[in-house]
Amino acid sequence: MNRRFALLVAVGALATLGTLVTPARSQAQNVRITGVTSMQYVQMRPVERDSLFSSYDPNADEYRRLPDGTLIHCGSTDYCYWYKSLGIATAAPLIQDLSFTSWGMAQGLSIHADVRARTQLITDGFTYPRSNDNFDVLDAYAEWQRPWGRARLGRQWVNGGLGTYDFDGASALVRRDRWSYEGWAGRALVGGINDTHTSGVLAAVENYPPDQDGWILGTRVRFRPNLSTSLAAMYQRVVVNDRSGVYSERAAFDASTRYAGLSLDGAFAYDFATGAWNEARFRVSTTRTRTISVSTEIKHYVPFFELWTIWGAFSPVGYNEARSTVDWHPSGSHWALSTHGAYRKYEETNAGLTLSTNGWRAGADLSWTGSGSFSALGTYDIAIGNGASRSDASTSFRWNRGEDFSAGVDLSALQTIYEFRVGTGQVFGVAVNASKRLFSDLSISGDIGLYRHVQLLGEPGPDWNQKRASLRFEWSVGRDPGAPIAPKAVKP
Amino acid sequence: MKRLFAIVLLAVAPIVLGAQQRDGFPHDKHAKLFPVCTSCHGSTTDNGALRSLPAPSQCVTCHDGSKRRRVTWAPPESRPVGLLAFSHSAHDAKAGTEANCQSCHATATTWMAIGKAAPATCVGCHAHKVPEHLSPDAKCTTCHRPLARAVGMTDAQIKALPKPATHESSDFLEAHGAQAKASIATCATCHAQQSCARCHLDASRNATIAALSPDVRVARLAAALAPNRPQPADHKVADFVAGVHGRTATASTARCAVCHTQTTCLTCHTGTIGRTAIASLTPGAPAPTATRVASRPATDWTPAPHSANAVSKPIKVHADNWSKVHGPSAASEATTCSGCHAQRFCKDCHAAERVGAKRYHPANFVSRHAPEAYSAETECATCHSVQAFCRDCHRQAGFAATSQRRGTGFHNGAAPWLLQHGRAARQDLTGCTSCHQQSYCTQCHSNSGWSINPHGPDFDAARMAARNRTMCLRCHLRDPLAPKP
Repeated sequence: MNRRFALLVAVGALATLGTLVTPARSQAQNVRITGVTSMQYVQMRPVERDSLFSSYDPNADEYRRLPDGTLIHCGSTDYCYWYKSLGIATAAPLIQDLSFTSWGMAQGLSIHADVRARTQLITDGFTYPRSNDNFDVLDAYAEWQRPWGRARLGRQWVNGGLGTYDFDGASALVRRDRWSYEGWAGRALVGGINDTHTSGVLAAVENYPPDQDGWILGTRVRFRPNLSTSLAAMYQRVVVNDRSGVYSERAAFDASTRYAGLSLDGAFAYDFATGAWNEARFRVSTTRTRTISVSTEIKHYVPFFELWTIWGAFSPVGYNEARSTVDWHPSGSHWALSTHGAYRKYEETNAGLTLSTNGWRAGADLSWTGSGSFSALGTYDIAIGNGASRSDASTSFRWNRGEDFSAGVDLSALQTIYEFRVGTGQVFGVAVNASKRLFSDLSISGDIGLYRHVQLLGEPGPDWNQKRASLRFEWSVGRDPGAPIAPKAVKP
Repeated sequence: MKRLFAIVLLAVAPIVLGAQQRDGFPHDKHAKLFPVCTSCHGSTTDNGALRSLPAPSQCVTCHDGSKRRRVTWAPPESRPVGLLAFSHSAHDAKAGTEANCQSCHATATTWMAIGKAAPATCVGCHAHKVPEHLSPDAKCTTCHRPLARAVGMTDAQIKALPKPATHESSDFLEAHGAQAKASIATCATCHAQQSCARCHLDASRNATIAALSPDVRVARLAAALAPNRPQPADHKVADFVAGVHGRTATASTARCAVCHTQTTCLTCHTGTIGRTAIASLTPGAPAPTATRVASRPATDWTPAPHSANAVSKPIKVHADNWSKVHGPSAASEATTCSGCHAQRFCKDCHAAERVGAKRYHPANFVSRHAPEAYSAETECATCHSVQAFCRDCHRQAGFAATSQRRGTGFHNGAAPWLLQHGRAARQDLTGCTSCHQQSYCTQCHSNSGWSINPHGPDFDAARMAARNRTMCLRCHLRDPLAPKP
């Protein structure tokens, strides 16, 4: 635990203590701190490659089975290989998030920061991803908000049809009648890492890491012709530091409207480097039907890769998918049923032998909400497709005691089928969870689950039995800028 | 003389009626004794609906204990001020010779068969000529004073006031506001401010309601009754909260203010959207739930935030599956997310990693995530770095690639994977990158390896190279697009 993390934990603990012992907060406070402390206990069963001399059975094929049925591969070398389960590995990551918001310096001016600290309480053969990266500044910016627009300066992020992009820089948004114009520029950060391209995070996991940072430049125009319709167009590029090229150049178009009881949404994302539509999605759904809601969507998808990797040159193909949902939720009924189905077809790859070139999914959720505090949810989903498939059923029961306490139990059973490695196994699980608001600004929640993995037909295979638990505290101190100021107490 | 007689009758009648009702004076037994009403009710004292009563000594004239049994009776010092605002003297002036006491108080044709004047008698003469006493167009103030001024009425009497049939109709709640605004004096006959404040959360700001007088008796009665705030029809459409209510609220904030205080709105509206309209509502108690919106879980349901106000059941703010389909709507600001959510709300999912009750993925997602990842049902890279998150976990779990190209590994060992992998890779290249580094592929797909071309038939080398030529040189020893010497 390094010094920065210890400091952050100390601040969090003090703030929590302050929340507990302070009977009433001052109305004059103009800062708000929200903290989320989450801990996990994770068990893993890593697999390890084992081997034996291929000469143990010189007449056998390239693919053989051991006496216990385990599939092994005997190639051109002197050895045969297979994978076996290792002992249980354990990790207990601890994540501390702190959100600061301060305002009141000048009209419309506020300061925001979201920082995250990570460590691992238990390390026994497994390091939870990114838990060694002890400290992250997710965002830290000053914002000036006025009726005609908004300006931000600092570490921030922009969210839109191209996904989430973090950067250190500035952004400005101007509103004019039904139009809004937004622009942003700054040093680009790698998505999911909150660090620069050359920070070393990528170099630690990638042997062809980017050798230069990137600079992000983007603009977005939104138009709202009427209250029911909105359109947005966005263009963004991430330029390599020496301006020799770009890491990405993309555009997105999003539209949404309501008409005649229908909601129509469209989303399109285009990659100039590959000339591919990473996403083209059109969705029609009913909005006014009280008993039955229907939604239909067609989607085209191609994965996107930044140009500091070679993956885009491997000509990834996408798929076209049609999906539909039908929800039945009669007014006044305790029951609701939701069904969904989808079928996708991959584009021609012009490579390799035939694999599955399509996939489909189907499922249903049946929920019951009692007039009292009980509710139940049963779900079943089946997904058959390229790479991995699954059949999954679960049942959840929940009891709410007002808004301050809830407890539940989840029962689950899933079967992984056709999956490349794990094979045909079943996982049965039971988990319990509870959530309690101790005070208006302090709540705690947690869950614990046991999962048992069995192979079908008694075949040997990796053992994925595991226990999982999590605990989460959420607290806040200070006044919410969105809440009204309570009238001062009047002395009798 | 006739006029005088009429006046006397008018004055006497209510006295007689009152006596009958209160002390049971048997008028019929005295019918032969008193030929005219004025025998006892000799004069009219017009302080409201009052009448003169005989002096006790007048009764003792007969009821002296010898001729007749002695009676002890004394007139009340004052009559409680009731709802009726009847002026005998005013009626005297207008009655002329046509009216007498019996005109209003006779219950039969026999002499001294009298009773309380029925409202039907009143409405039969007056100008509005309504068909019945509680007709919707009855002008109550003709005969009644406001309830707040009827200080003589008890709680029980107020509670027993008759309810007009119009109040029972299904559209009365929707229509009564306009009716009240047009004629609040009519409402005041039976209602006080607290009658309205029982349901109207904006009673203190409503000018029509403020025109009524407060009344402690009504306050007591109203406190024992639950508010009546049925859900309006337009609230029942599927996307009312998420898609329609803004327009409705902007068009008529006053309508919202009847059932909602600022607390209702601020439970979700933590940003700047709608602040003007919200500010025009009555300030409710500070909303404890408002502080929680910023990190509300990424579920499709809002957990009963409105229970402090009119709605006591959970409100479905967004459509089913909203967390997975909100992209276009959020990107184009069709639903102005910042109107309800602080920006950090998005981070709950898009910055990932958090666990506990407010996580995005279901429990044991690690065992079930493969189909979601392969189908890009939710694109992992939106929140996770494939290299730093997925690959790190896969490596430790033993799934990440080794140098062996033909092992069973993660891949299905039942077929020659090496010959299949091209199709698999092109169909889900992201899946490959969750285990393999780039150098694993360049073992074959590069000039320094086996020079196997990984490009597809539609690969546009110039387009890509124009944007990052350095990337080409990861695999090509020389610039493949450079002019050949």
